[in-house]
Amino acid sequence: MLKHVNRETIDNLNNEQLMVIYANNKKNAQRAFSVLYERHKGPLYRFLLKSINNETQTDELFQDLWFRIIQHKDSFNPKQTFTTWAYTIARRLLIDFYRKQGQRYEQAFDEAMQEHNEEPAGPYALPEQVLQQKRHARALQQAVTELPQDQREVFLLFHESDLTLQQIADITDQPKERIKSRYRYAVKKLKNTLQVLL
Amino acid sequence: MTHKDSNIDQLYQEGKKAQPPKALDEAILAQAEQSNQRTRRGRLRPWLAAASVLFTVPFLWLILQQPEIQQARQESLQPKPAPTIPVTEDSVQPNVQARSDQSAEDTEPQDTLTEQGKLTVTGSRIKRRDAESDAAGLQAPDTAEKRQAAAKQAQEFKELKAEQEAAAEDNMQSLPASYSSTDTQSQEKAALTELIKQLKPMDLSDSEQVLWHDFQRHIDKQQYAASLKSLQQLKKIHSALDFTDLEKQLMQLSKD
Repeated sequence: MLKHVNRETIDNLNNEQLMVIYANNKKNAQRAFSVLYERHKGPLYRFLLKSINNETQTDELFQDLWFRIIQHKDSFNPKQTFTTWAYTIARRLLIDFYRKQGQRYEQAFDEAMQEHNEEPAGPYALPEQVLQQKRHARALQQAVTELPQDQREVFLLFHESDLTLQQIADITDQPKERIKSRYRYAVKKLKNTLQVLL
Repeated sequence: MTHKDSNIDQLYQEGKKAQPPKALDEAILAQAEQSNQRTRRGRLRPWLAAASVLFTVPFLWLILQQPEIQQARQESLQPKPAPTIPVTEDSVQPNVQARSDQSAEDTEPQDTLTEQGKLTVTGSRIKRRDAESDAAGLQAPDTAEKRQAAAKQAQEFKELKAEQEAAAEDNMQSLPASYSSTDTQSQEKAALTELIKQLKPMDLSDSEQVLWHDFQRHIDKQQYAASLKSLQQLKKIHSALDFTDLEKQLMQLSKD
């Protein structure tokens, strides 16, 4: 199937097929990588950004993440989903990042929350409705940063990357039931926080 | 709960706008392209090696098939013509020819081959193969002219051989005499030296030692008369010693 792919059909291929084309350096490999990158750059970037809440460091981590994906393309197993593989690498990078910072994961989240609260308002005035939505969204962002690390991780992986709870369980190397429980607690806390804030 | 909470998800998706900077996108895409270019080059290496072998082998084969190279190879494989071994007096032609005024280069190799018959190599031996010579027991070629020429050359060879033998006999006659005389002298000298060693007195005074030293010096210089005098002086001083044999030999040598 992957032997005869043209530029048009590449857009319709799934993540794993794209990664195989790129890893095997087939025709249109660069195009396949571009499509894959376009699909995942936003979720992965936001996952990192919301995890450490620092743009400069997020940029570095994001670049490091994709360089690792490129470097280890040959070790990609097509039976595994690309998202699971990519988020596993991203999670390991985050753990390494906090280890280098000499911080625990939880401590890092606390500091990130403080920075987030000090963020200045945007330079442009917005219509009332948009402003309200923005306020709600920001409230949620704030509430997410207040979540405990394990619940926050599950929440971000679930909502940013569209991973299933089973996939999250695979990435975090935890039982699925525990992941389910963490997510349930995370949603409950967010709702409570939003009710207070709004 | 295996599904996303719709309200939370909707609100969360509204706040999702953060994207990586464009410079970062370009850097990552460039890295991806560069990585694949390296791999492509690496993958081509075995093919390039195979292609170079496939190209080189027929090329070398074509070069080796060229007629000039083939001829040179065959020439190098052929055995070099070895000198013939003279079996009879008639077949001594090459040696005689070599000694004659005519140089070997002047003669045609083809003629020599026809004169001598075909040469075949069997192991390390070189045999002359000719139908007639087989029958006649390695006889000379059959034509009258050739026989005459061969007889003439054989005659020349005989004369040359006789001259060499005469010269060798002269040498043999002159050499033994000189060798024998030299041998006798050296034998006598050796015997004398041995006798002097045996007869040398153990306890000699300073003046006696000087005399003995003079005696030995004269012997070394083959001045046997002078050495005899020194010995006689020594005998006068050291009358107990018996130098009779030594005196006899020295007298004999001084006479010679």
